[in-house]
Amino acid sequence: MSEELLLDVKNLHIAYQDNPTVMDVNFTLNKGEVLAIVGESGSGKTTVIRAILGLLSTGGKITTGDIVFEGRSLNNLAKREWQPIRGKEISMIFQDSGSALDPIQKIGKQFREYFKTHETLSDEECDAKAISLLASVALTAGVDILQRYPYELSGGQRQRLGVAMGLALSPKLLLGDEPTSALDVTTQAQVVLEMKALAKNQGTAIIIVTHNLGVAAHMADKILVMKSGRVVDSGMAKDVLENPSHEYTKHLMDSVPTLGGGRYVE
Amino acid sequence: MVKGIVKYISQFVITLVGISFLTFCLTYLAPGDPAMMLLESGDRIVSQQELDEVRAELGLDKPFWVRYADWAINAAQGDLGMSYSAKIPVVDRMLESLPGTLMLAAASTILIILYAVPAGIISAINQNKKIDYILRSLSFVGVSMPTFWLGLILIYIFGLKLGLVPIASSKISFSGVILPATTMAVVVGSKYMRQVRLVILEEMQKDYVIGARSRGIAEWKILFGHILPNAFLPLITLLGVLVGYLLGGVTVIEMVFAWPGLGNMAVYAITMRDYPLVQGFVLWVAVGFMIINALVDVSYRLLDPRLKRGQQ
Repeated sequence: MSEELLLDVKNLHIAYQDNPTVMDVNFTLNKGEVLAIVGESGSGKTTVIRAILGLLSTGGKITTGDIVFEGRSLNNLAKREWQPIRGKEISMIFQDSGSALDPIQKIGKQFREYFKTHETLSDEECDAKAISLLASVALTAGVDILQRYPYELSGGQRQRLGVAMGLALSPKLLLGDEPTSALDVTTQAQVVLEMKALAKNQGTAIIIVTHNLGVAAHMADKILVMKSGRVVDSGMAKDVLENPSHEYTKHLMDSVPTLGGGRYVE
Repeated sequence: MVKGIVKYISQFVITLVGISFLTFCLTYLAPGDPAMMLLESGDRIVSQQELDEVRAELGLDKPFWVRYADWAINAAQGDLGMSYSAKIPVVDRMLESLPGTLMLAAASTILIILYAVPAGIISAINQNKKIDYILRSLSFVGVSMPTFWLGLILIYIFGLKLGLVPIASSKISFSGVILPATTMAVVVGSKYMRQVRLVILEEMQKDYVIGARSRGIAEWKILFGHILPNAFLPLITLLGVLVGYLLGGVTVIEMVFAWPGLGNMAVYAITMRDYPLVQGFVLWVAVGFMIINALVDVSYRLLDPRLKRGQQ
């Protein structure tokens, strides 16, 4: 793994309508690295990755600090400047990838729109690319899926579709917003594996937000533990999980359910 | 599919029976005697014998239930009876006024769409910016203005002072429809514009918009390719309600502009205790609303894939 710096989040503070939600978050991410941000809901972890893509919802604002991606500050970019970055350099997988798609447009058409935004491809090339991407996440009926509407897929299929779309243009950074938490345990494990394998192939770095320490342990090189908008613990995944320095991390570890006597966290 | 249509039509019939029965009750209970209204002219003294004869002729001497049953059976065959005042079949009398109302409704609807949809969209995408405040203030003024007052002002300016359009028209004409339609567009359109704005704002908050942004899709493409198509369905529903209202003939507007439409006719019919005509009018309003509702429903089935696939 190269040690080249990809993302540098410095002293990040975010407020919603002047209410501070994220305070003093600092971390760096190298190319190809996987970072897991762990914490309970309301801890501000989703806000952090939304900010990285400039997609804070209305009223949300970075008050101090900076997000530097490949040496370029992402703070205060104009809409026009964001467009070539979003979906191409940095992409995102949502908790429900189905609802991140237009409900009344066929999936194939949305793939075409996405690809054509960033690349010069014909309709046929778009479809072929989409079908091969879907196959790489074990969705073999690609031709059929392109003719479907998002609501016609199952939860697992939708998240696989999300992974395929998120990694379609070989982004340098993939943001996962609880991408597997709506899935059952078996599907969750499969989707996590697929995401990890694909990202590794392309050298894509990942920031995955999750409340599931098992997923974090399985995927991440680094872990950041957040509570009430602040980072309470961080470091290499192994160190954080083996020697949690903060009470809260220990508490989170204890609440991981055990299966057959062994914890899912290794 | 067939089952759906049967269900739809039976609902249609039940609603019609209910509405017509209620109006029948109301006209029955209303004070005033149509026979008296017909016979009274000048200082002439009406004898009881004359009254009884006219009542018998109009069928007013029969019990309530018999009268309703007679009316309903004839109505089912397309015969809504004779207008007491016009002395011609109700259907013919209504057909005289229908073109006026249809023309006014069509012209108003076109103007409303032309004004409210773009203004609502512009207002929504510039939420809480200057242009949004300006458009919202204007629409607030528009909504708050009484129709008759605005109508009179427009007549004063464009009819009387500038002489651009006729002040009042007893016949329908293109130049005559401009002012009443504009008045409707300002008042009703301002309300619709606020609804358009809210619908668009609501769509803009949806996850698919954030999803599209996260994929780098340009803002204008998100607006025209995703937000507007999704907003189309709720907007059609709201427009349907509005057109249904216009089809009933907007009485105040028709009175102010002396526009020969159903609204004017209805007021006259009520003044004259012309019950068959009132009945016919109410029935038309109900049918108009139900047809519009049916059209809205059909458009949903055509436009929303979730419903389209469901019925296959």
